[in-house]
Amino acid sequence: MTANAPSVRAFRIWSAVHTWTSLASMIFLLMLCLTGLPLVFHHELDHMLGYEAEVPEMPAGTPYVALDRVVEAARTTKPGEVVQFVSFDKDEPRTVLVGMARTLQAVPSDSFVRIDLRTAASLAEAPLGTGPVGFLLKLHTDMFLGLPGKLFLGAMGLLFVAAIVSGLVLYGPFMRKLDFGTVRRGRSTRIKWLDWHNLVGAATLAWALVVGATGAINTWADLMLALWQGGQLAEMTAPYRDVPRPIELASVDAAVATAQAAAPGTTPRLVAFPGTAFSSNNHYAVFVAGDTPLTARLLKPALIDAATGALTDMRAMPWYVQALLLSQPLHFGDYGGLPLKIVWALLDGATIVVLGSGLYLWLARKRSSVERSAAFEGGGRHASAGSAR
Amino acid sequence: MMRPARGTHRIWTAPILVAFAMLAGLVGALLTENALMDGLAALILFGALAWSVGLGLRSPRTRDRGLRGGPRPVPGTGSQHRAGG
Repeated sequence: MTANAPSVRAFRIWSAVHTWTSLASMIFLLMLCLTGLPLVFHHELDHMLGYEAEVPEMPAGTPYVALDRVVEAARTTKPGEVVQFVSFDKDEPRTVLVGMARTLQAVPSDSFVRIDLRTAASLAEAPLGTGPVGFLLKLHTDMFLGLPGKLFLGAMGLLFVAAIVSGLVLYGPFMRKLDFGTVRRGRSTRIKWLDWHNLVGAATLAWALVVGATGAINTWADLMLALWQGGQLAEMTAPYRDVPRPIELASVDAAVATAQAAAPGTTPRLVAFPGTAFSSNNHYAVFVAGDTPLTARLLKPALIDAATGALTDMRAMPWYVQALLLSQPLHFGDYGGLPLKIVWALLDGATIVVLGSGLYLWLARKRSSVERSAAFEGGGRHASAGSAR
Repeated sequence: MMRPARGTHRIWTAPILVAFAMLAGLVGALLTENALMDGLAALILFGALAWSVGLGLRSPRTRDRGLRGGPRPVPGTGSQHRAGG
């Protein structure tokens, strides 16, 4: 009795952790799984539903126009708005996305113009974040509540991770007399679903941990970027703190070329314009990335003097931003081709089964304990008499 | 600590292998990003899931070691199946 006491206590604690972390996050996890399922195929769905720009076919090797011309074309498309950044699409290198806003300091909104790099023509495209996929994405990332919604879902993600870890601890005691993969189909519905819960939970453990943990990390993206802005970026732009913004800006093409010359073998991913949140009043911030699958995800900002076009600083981003950038594809599963996306969807479906069966097991256990209590109260006197005999 | 029982390896070996295969597939596809590795990763992930689910589906109705020697009741918990949910 005394030797077993700590293990019983530990078991009860882990059991309580597993039950309550799962129950507390259940509704939100089911929502995340259900909305995440179509989001795995967001490219395909956007294309199918007509929310993605049609890029005209042109002969291979058609040269690209200058970025300055692209920026000018964006300004013409949205008169009265200023350019905040130019974003290069890794999956669609023939176009760029130009982010616009009423003022340079405005929080980047959904005002974008997609420009064909070969013609500088503006491509017709539904505003980002609209349509069914946009709706699901907003629901999935912050439930239309902005940063508080994101952080809340991040907390749900952490509860999910705790539920997985506690489930792993409990798996041993419950399965030690069974072969892996055994489902006792001859027993009650509850035991059958307990076995399915354990089996599918064990099979999807690694994937669920990766997706749950990276999902939680992604919810901290805004905080991490704010930390970077207040830390490394502020340090890099400190010498220019009181220098007024130049009236004439250097060429965007020259800024990109300078950044690439400073980091050979890289390609531009984003150019933030002077005066915006990701730069200073006096700099273009050119974010470049490497050419291998791994380094292509790690951004390196180069600050280019917006008046002279000279490089003033270039550093690797801090580890927490790198971790965020690496975690994103592991959460979305969109780095692979269609086969990997289909498997991602299957694993998402399997996680829904684990969540649903867990809820069923909890409800069934509650029902059976209520029945046991009722039976005990009804036949208590008789049972007491029987045990006395 | 809970006492390890005979057959413990059986319940850990397979899930550990499945987890490692999945992780290797996920990270491998991320690091290489080519169609072949993507396909291979998808195959590994699908194979691990399908094999596990297949084991459950193939469990015979009569194969019920649990009736005689199923999971041991955990002392003091009131039920041998509590933690599942």
